[in-house]
Amino acid sequence: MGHSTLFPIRLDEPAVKAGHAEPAAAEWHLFRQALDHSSDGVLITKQPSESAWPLVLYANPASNAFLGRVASDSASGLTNGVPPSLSLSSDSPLWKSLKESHQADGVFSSEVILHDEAGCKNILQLRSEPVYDDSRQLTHRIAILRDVTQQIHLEETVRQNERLACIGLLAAGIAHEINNPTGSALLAAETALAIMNSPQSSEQMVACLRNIVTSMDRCGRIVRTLLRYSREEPSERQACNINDVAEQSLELARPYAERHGAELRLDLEPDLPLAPMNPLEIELVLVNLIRNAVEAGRGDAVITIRTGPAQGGVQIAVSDNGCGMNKEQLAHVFDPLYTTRRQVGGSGLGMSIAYGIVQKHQGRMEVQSQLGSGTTVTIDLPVPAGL
Amino acid sequence: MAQILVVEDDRPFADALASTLRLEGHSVLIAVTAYEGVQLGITHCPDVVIADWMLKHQLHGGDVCERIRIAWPNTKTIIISGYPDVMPQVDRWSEGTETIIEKPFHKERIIEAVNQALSRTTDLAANTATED
Repeated sequence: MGHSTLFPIRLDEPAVKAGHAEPAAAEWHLFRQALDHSSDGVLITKQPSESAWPLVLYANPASNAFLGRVASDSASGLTNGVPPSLSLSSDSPLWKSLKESHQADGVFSSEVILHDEAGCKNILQLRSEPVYDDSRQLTHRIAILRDVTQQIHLEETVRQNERLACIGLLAAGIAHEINNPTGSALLAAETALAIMNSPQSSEQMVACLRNIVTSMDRCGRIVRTLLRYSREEPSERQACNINDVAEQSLELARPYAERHGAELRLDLEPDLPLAPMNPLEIELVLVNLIRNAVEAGRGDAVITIRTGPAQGGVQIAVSDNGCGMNKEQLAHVFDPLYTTRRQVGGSGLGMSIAYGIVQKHQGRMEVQSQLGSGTTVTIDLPVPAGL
Repeated sequence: MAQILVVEDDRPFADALASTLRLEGHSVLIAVTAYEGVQLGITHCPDVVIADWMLKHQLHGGDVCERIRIAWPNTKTIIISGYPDVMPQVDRWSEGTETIIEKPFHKERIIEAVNQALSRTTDLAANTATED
């Protein structure tokens, strides 16, 4: 008999039934030691029958801490079916998730937000897997609880920092862009003042005023773009035309690209279906990819942003004719903190964050690269049927 | 009155600058790309070239001025730029450049720079005449 079936049955019914082999005492002890000392919470719950709430048959000491109880009986570990009311109020989100898990067929996972007495938010990751008996009946579930509060905060901080770095980059380019229209309006206004009283001034005056209007309008647009980026990103997705997102990204990255002598080209496929996405996040990914492409260039970079259909969705690709990557670099391309540009302030987070954003969109991201001839990053975003 | 070539890829800016200079009585040519700038510069022998540093694509304003000065060594050049962080690069390059002006600027600033450049041309001509 394998351990996987042996273990849960023993906990549910500690008394060994006839026909089942007695587990070796040492083995039993090892199981208990391992679970008792795990920093992840482990809960074994019984499929509810009459009562709507699952019964907790085993809670290891770590899960007792998550449940907010003092691990008074950690030596035994067995709670022998503690009703919910004794451990947590039935409206606790953790209990709700456990109950929900018993309504699921397979693996169930959710994030549970708990507030401790001080009012601090703790985020628990709950992953519950079904446990079957010998006749393949789902009898129990084993739930692993992990405190991911710090991890999530860290991820948020890293993402926020990368976003700020990206905004910083854009802001530098965009702020410089403002100097042109401002300068243009300034000279036009001064010219207008100078010719105000001259009799043949009307045509020139109109040209000056038009120049001021156009320039100020341009300043306004630049500032709006920047503000749109620096505001908190909305998390909801909307059906977007990937071509619009490509064009917007190109506009954002253009000042940076031009300053580095790179040429940006668009190759857009018309009539693509709309895809659900957070456009700001996808723009961030594209701007990051364009930035990488510019940095891979050798002064005469040509970067092409291409859109097209993909299987079950749309595709957008950023290609460059830069230095390319070797096998080792390619293997680490999505690893956080991996960078070949540490000396020039690279954090190595750009690509892993880009990858994370694409994954969150249920998309796919692929990198093809040839040393010496360039890199292409392809992103496929799904378009659900019926959208 | 002098002939001035403005090399600036931002068309509204180029137009505003040209109006300002024309009002001062100068004759102004506008080039909106680096290549056009080199071409117009070589064919027209301007007294002064005012070139934006950050032009699209490969050549920057300094490259344009350098090429024109190969053809016309007496042509004076002024660099303008909206990117303060490229100023050190311009400084390093600045051999032969009269002035570097940061955008945005008032018309007096550019008029003064043009007049200074022109007076040097005159000085040079006067010196050459004396030496003869």
